[in-house]
Amino acid sequence: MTLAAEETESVISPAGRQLRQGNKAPRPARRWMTLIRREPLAAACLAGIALLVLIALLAPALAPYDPNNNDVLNRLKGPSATFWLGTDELGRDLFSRLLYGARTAVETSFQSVGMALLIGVPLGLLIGYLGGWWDRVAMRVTDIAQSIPSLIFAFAVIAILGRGVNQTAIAVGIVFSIIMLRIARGLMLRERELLYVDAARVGGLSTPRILFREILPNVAGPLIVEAALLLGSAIMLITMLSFLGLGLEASTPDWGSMLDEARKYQVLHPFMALPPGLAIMAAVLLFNFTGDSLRDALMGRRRVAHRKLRQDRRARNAPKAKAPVQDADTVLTVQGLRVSYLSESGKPMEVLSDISLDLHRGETVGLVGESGSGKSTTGMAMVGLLPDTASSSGHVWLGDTDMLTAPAAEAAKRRGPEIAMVFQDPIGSLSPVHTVGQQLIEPMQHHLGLGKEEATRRVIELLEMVGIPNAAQRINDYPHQFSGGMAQRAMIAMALSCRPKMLVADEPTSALDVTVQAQVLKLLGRLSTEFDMAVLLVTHDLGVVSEACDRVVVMYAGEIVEVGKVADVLAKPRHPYTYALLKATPRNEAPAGRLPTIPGTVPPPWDFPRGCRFAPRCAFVKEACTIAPVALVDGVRCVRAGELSLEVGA
Amino acid sequence: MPRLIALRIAMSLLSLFLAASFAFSLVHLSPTDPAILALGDGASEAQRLKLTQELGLDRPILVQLATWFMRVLGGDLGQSIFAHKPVTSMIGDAIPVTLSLLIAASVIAVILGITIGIYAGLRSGSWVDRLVTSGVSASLAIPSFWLALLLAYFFAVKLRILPVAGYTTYAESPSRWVIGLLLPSFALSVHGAAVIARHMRGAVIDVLDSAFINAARARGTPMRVVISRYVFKNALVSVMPIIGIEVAVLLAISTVIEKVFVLPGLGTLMVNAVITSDFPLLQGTILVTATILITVNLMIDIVMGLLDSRIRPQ
Amino acid sequence: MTALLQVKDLAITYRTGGSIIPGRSRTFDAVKGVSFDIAAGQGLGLVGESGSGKTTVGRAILRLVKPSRGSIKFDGQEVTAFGSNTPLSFRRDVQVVFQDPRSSLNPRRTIRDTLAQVIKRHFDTPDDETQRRAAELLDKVQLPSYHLDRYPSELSGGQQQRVAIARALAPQPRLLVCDEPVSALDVSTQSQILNLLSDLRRDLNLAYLFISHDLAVVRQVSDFVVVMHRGAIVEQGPCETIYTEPQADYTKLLLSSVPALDAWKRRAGLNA
Repeated sequence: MTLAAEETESVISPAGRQLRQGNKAPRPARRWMTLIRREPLAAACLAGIALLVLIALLAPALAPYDPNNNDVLNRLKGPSATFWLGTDELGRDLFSRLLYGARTAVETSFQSVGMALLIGVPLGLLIGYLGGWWDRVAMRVTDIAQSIPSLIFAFAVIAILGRGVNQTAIAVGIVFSIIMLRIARGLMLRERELLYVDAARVGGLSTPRILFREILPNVAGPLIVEAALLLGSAIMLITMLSFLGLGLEASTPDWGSMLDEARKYQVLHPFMALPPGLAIMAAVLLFNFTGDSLRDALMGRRRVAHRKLRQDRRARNAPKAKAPVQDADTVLTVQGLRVSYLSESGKPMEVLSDISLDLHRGETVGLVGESGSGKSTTGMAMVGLLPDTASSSGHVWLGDTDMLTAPAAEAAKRRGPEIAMVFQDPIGSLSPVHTVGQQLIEPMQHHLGLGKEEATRRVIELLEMVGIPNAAQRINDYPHQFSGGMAQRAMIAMALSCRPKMLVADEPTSALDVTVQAQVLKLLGRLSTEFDMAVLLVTHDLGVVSEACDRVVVMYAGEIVEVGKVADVLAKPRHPYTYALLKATPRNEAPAGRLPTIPGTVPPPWDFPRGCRFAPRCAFVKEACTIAPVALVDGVRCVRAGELSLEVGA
Repeated sequence: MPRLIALRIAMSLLSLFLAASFAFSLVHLSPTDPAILALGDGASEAQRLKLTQELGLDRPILVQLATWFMRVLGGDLGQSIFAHKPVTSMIGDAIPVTLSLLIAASVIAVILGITIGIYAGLRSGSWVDRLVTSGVSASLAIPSFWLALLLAYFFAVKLRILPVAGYTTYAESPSRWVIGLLLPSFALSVHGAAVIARHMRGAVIDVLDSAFINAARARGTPMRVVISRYVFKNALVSVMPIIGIEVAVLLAISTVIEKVFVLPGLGTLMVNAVITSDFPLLQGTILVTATILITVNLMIDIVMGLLDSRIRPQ
Repeated sequence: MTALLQVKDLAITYRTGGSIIPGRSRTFDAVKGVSFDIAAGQGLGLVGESGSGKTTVGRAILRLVKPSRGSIKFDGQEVTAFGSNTPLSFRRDVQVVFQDPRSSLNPRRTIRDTLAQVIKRHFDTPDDETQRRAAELLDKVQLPSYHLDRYPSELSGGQQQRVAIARALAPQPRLLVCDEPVSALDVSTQSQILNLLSDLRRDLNLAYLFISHDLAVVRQVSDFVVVMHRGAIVEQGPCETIYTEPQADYTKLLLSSVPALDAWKRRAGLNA
């Protein structure tokens, strides 16, 4: 078997591929069809724009009258069969003027946005790419231009250039060029940080080629979105200008000046205000919707689940289950936990299957697995914080409370005094605009009912205990003033502040440097003994398990594949996956030929094999492995557990 | 904090200086001779030369800039070409009108926008949220001057409960001052409320998804505390800059609102200045507008500094 | 034998906090006087924690940041003396593999395009020859050729990293800078990529600058190790010496901090 035999098979199912493609880069030929199928709203908007442009182009053919044809006998008439929308104070046909107004609106808005695209975008991209002095000077100048609102800036330009269709379009175009310049620069600054740009430079590609062939296609989407939104703003600005009598010459039929005329006859003939107002609103709405739906299509639809804040409906529907009889030592019992999500295509995918586990006082259990194994989800389920989009079954018994089904408020009461959690990113786990102290005293205020001073005093004690120097001063600092290691110590101190029976630590050292990791692991070990708590240490690193844990739970593709004492499992693993993972982990010793590997990758949840989920990657696979799901027997989930002898060498 | 304030004030003064230079340069950017602009097309060559000398237009541009600055700092914005009155006094009369309108509308917009935004953001995906989102989209597309026309027609022409137009100063009658401002400030606030609501909703949804909210829930903090303390403040911090931008937009829109309700404010002056090519008046009004907005942004920056330690200089 | 790459007294200073007022921005010394050599075909590991400046050194060698002092010589040529346009010959000789394979590939290009444009740029080959070479490169990193028409988002992390390696090999370089090439990957994929890198080095006589925070990983692909801490080198030497008889305190601390797979044996001994 070659080195990469399995990995070379695509790891993504057809459903997944389609999903990813939609988000990123559909092939050009299919792009339009995909758009209509996946984004009907965006497609409808584009059709609407096409219609508006068509009306503008065909206005002379569609309009029943000359828009400037005065007919004093028929002035200020209401809608009729001859004048569909009535007439104005000079007897001009309002319907014809409305159609010609569309022509003016389309012409001026497309001109000004086109100008912004031609001037603002290249300049912005260049300034963003060059950076440094160029960037700072340009930004200062545009800051000033932007400290004056667009409309008033346009006033100034019109005062200089005079009135007229072209002048108005240029005035708005200048304003928009500045806006586009800033947007393009912002996009470029973000894109420039991406490694593919560095890779292109190292590849020897020329600067223009990098700018226009590499970067531009990636920022084109957001720029088109902004252009669509600017078209809406353009119509708004231009009609405002002509409403004020500044933009266009009086003879040009235009929605803004039509509204100005309507204003004068507000009492006498109020109907006049309706058609142009509605026309402006419809056009602006059209462009805004286009921009928004294109943005959604580009970013991938963000489905926001309806949040249940006050009450948890799961609680009422769940059948009442009885807590198991636990011995005095057992802190938490997981029984038959299953968690699944709805994939974007609407199919449920089970990310956790049949997880059962006991945790006891004073022991540290390592929950180890690669990404996609479901180890973090297990940790979140234990504290009762699965996302609202997850559906679950089974039980997580903390005493006689089922954290999985307990009402939200009830579960919240347990978090702190009975079970606590620390996360991978300690600084991100703290609100950036509150001091660390404000957040650390919170559990003691809510759960122990302590006053602010008493809680603060105890927090300082705790911080000193976890090794934070100058604790009394540091509580007034903000999270960004902490180093990662110090912040993680503070988070551990907070987790312990209500003396919980159990601590879930989700990759608590993965984001830390190796020397800091050693300190934090040592601290966790000391505290678990001192506080006599159960610690669940979620990690991807078997080395960490070996350093810090008493027992280990190995997870693969949403299942527990092996459980046991660390010394037993690491010396003599019984599951081929544990064995392979141990062998593949780089050791701090001289390389002896090739590193042992596990071919392929962890399958995604919609592609779990029917039988043993590790079978396709297993070196010891036989036919029996692939037929039916394998049960966890005596701490190992393997058909051949009895016959295999997997010794890890010295 | 004092360092932040000092730094921001210095930056504001720099912005003000550059905005003033922009206002000054308007006259010289115009392709037409400023003296002709002032006198009209029918002026004789002798008249033109006389005025050119009077206005100092024949001197080097930097000298003109310096003298102009000295005059402006002394409170003299020149003489309106069209109205033959000092620009300073014209602007002095107009400022209270525009400021009362702008402040009233901004306050309404901020209160409405933040409340609606939080309410919808906390219930994202629900029918209330969808209703709010559509309402916001519609409000953003309604031209403010059309909305003002419709409101004026309904409340003033149809129901006759509010005045159609005109402005009463506070000194004349406080109650009529308030009543007169009701419709204009509401019409003006709608755009601001919609923009602020939209951003606030987005900010609330983002904050709810962040790690520190998860962590706060993991330490058993009740949801109502999580929302009132963490969600609110973090969302507000990200919406503050939007409020600054939006006040500027409202100041721009106030020009059309002033026209609909015939209010003698800055916008009216500015529009007349453009129509009549009254450059001293235009320069003055633009300078005052920039001053108002730079002040607003300075205040926002200071509030931001109070809310968020990350932007304070270390 | 002269070294392929000679780095002498390299220092790099970053400006932080952009301001248009001169003298107002602060500076930060990311790298302070670093010297080391890499011989042709040699694997050199550059080890350090975050903030050690190891990545910055790599970026200076690739001419992605400007050194403030010191010299970088590649094959006898002074790299810091190149003007704003880096000679194509240097770009051909020195290539890179970054940590995050997802962002190091242009999401809007197929694998074929990504490889072809580098091949064309360096060898100006006719189209069919370019295609043949692209397929050959994919074969070198053990990916089947049907991946050529896929987009990066359709590949797994390990596959993306193989493509990134293929792109780096396209100009037939002599030195490959690998900046944490396996840190973003799972253990099982990590060892596949490490094996691939070892094979390529042997087959193509490539020299490596292998930048990593992970001592165990560095040991698998290097003959020589440089340990950095806060912008300076604390120790350098052949792998065997550094790993078995470290001299500097920091190296000792670093080595003792790495979680050991057999730590349970030590702990069991303590408990007994």
